[in-house]
Amino acid sequence: MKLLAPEFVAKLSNMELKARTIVEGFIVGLHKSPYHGFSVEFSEYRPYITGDPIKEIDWRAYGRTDKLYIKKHEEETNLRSYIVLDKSASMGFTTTGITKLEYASCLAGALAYLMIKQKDAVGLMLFDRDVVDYLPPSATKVRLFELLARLENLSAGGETSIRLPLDKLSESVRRRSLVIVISDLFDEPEETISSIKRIHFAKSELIVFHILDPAEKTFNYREEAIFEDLETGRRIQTQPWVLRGDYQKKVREFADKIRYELRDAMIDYIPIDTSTPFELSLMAYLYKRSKLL
Amino acid sequence: MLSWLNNIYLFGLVLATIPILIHFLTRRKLKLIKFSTLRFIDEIQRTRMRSFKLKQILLLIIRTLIITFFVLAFARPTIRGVFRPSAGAHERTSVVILLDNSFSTSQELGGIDLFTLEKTGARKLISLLKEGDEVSFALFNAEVHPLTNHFTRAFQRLDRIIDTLSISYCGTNIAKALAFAKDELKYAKNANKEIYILTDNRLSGWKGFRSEDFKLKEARVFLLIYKGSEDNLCVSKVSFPAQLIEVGKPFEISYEVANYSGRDYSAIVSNLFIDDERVAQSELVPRKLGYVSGGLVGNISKGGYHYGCVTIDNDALAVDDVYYFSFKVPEKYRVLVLGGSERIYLKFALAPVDSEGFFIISDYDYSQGINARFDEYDAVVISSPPAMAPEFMSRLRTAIESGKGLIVFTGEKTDLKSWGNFFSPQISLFGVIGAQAGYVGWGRVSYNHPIFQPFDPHLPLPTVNFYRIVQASAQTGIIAEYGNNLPAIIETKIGQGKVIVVTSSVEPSWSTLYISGAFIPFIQRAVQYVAKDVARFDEPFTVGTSALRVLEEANITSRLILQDPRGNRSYLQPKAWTGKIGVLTPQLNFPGIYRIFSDKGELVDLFAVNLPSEESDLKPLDEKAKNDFIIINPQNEELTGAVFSSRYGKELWKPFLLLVFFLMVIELVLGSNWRKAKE
Repeated sequence: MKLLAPEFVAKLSNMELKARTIVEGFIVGLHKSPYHGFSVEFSEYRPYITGDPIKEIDWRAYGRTDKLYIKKHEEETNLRSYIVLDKSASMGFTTTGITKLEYASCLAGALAYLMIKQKDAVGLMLFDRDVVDYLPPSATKVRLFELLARLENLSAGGETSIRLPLDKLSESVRRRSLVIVISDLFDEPEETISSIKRIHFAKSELIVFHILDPAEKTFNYREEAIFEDLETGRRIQTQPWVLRGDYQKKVREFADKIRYELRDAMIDYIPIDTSTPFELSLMAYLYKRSKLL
Repeated sequence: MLSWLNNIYLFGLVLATIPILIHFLTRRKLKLIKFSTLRFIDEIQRTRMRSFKLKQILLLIIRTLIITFFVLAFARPTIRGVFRPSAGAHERTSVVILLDNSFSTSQELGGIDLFTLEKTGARKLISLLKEGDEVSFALFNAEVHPLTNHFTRAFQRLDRIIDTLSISYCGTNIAKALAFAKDELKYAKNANKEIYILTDNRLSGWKGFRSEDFKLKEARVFLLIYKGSEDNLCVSKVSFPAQLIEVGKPFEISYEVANYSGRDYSAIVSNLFIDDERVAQSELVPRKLGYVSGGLVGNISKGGYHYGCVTIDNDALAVDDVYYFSFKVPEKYRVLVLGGSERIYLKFALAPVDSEGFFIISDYDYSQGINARFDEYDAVVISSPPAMAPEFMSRLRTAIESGKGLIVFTGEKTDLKSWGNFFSPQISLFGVIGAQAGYVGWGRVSYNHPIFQPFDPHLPLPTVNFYRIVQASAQTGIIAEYGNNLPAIIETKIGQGKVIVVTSSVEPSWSTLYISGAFIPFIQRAVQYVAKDVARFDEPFTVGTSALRVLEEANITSRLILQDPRGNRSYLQPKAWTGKIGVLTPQLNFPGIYRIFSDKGELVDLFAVNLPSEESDLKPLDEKAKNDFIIINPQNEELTGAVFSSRYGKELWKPFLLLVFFLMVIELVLGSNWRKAKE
């Protein structure tokens, strides 16, 4: 499977194009890949084989191509998905050319595109300290365009606080829904974990995409510098190489704590960074969906 | 207290601010990085950065110190010595340099003599002088020889002067050199005052030095000691044993070798040269710290002036391995014989029929000889002298005192009172006595006396019957006695002249001496002995002194020419002293044989000059005995460093560089951790 570089996708003109590029590329790649058995539910044609029912022949396709194709009909589903996207100021950080928020938006758009294409209902919740915007789930193409439009106009800002938005979501989410959280999770880990678990207890499934910039993991700066917190505006002058070891350890402990807690609660935790191809995230979604249906 | 030799480099200390400047400039250009969250940095910053900041400050200090100490090392820091209080290190200096060129500095070490090393040291000292310094330069040995008119700043000219300096043959007198330096400092214009004495520091050179005479609070006195070997042999003395030197007959020369070493030597060879020809050789074994004497036998084929030397094998100090001497053997003796008729026996004894005119004789009776000029004769023989006029007696005494010889035979007419007074107090004459048994013969005889040396001591002297004798007494000088133990022949001295008194007479009524076989040898040898005896072997002069020479030719008035052992010639003007003609030479600078010629080129005098023997003792002065001096051994320590160390204190540039190296190692270790972390 040839994967799309996130930087390339970020350069595309609008969110619909981005989402379609990601998803179409993903589907084409998926057909050629050993992951075909993930049963992506969408319409497709296949050559007629003797024994196939005559009524399943697509005569339109025959009219265009003079070849007999069998049209495989899509299955209707009732999966309701919520994409919960963190748009706090920390999501505006980048060292790779694509901010975490841009990456998250592309990922959310691609997921929504894929979901609508599979007749799943998809909703969107944007948050920073609180819920900033909310689109209830719907499987219509109109909803998709609304959702993509929100994502396209998104800009990072505000401090991160996961607890309140998730608590609000847990009140409205139906049973057997899929909640996809895309965030850098820069909040108190205990609160983050407990909020996520609360949704999980409401019989909903969760996928948590923990998105970080590579520099946030490595802290690979070489010169003394003044670091300014994107959310609080506070500054610290420091020699990064002095802190690097301890920093990496701290971040690792932070991520591990969330990962182990969520794993214990049977919640999918997908650590990604802004250089991770989107397809890997989509694959994680499909894997989860296949388990739910 | 620190001082700096190259204080111009101290301006380089501004470089020490470079690390601090870099530190602050880097801080001013700090980049602002917007980062997603500082939550992870906060905690670490509190703990890690505290120690990091400390390390950073430490590194900054170390880097600053590295540059600081590096610059300071170039400025050549010194810590002041404790020798003497002095003016500031950077004051101008007045320096007195005294260079020992006594002959002991000719000792060679590894093919280079000590004086050459001293000259190198002097050049080095002069090269250390700075603008505004001044120097007074002098050579010294037994005397001081200034080479500059007090102080000078023409240092380059001194270099050329040093090239021309050579070793003298004189001894050493450091006390005199120090007194000169002390006086010289009165002309010094600068605040810093220093005296440098470059010497081989022999103990004898310090003779006469008293520390209390030489207290200098305002000056530092450096003693630059050039050490040589302490082992040395030298020929310290040559002498002629009492003997008559006769042409064609062997004679003996005694010599003495001094061993100043602390070790015994195996046999060394000594040589006797006479008139530039080696005539004898022998061996002797010098024991440590002692003297050993030997004898060598020489021979001459003609009379006149002779010279020679005794040499031994060369050692490290070769110049004192030779000792020069000179002597004169008269070709003829002029003899005045005064007496009655019996003087004929004396005249015939001195001039036998077959003689070759060895004695030129004038004989007079007393009435004729009363006005004789005694200075025209080598010896005067008087027989049975009566009372003479006081004027005669006075002239005779003067002549004897000046070195003429006198032989007196008492006899029938001898006026014992006046002649007793003449010989008093050495000899007393009492009266004439007859022999109790009719006559007496020879009693005890000193056969080792030069007069009796030809006689075999194991055989009796030819018989003489002495019928009458003059009773005499003498404390010393009795060289023959009668059989009755009364003095027969007495020797004494009046002034420089030798006197022989025979207490009997050649008159037949007094003795049979005139017909005895002993008579002719006795009278001839006695005349030679008193006329020109071994006592006239020239005592050598010493280098550094002047010689007063009395000339035998009393009628010389025109100027004379002095030729030194190297062939250099100078003029001498003869002068008259109480009837004698003499010359005073200038200072004698070389050992060897000096000759004096008349303006016609005739040799009129010859004498030997030797080295001062005390200079041959190479034993050094204990350096600990010289608390007042700053001792430097230029052969073992670097002169510049030693002088600067003493002048300004101990140089510290090496410890400073070591410190720089040490700090660099620390910086490397601390910095490498930092750089590794950065990468």
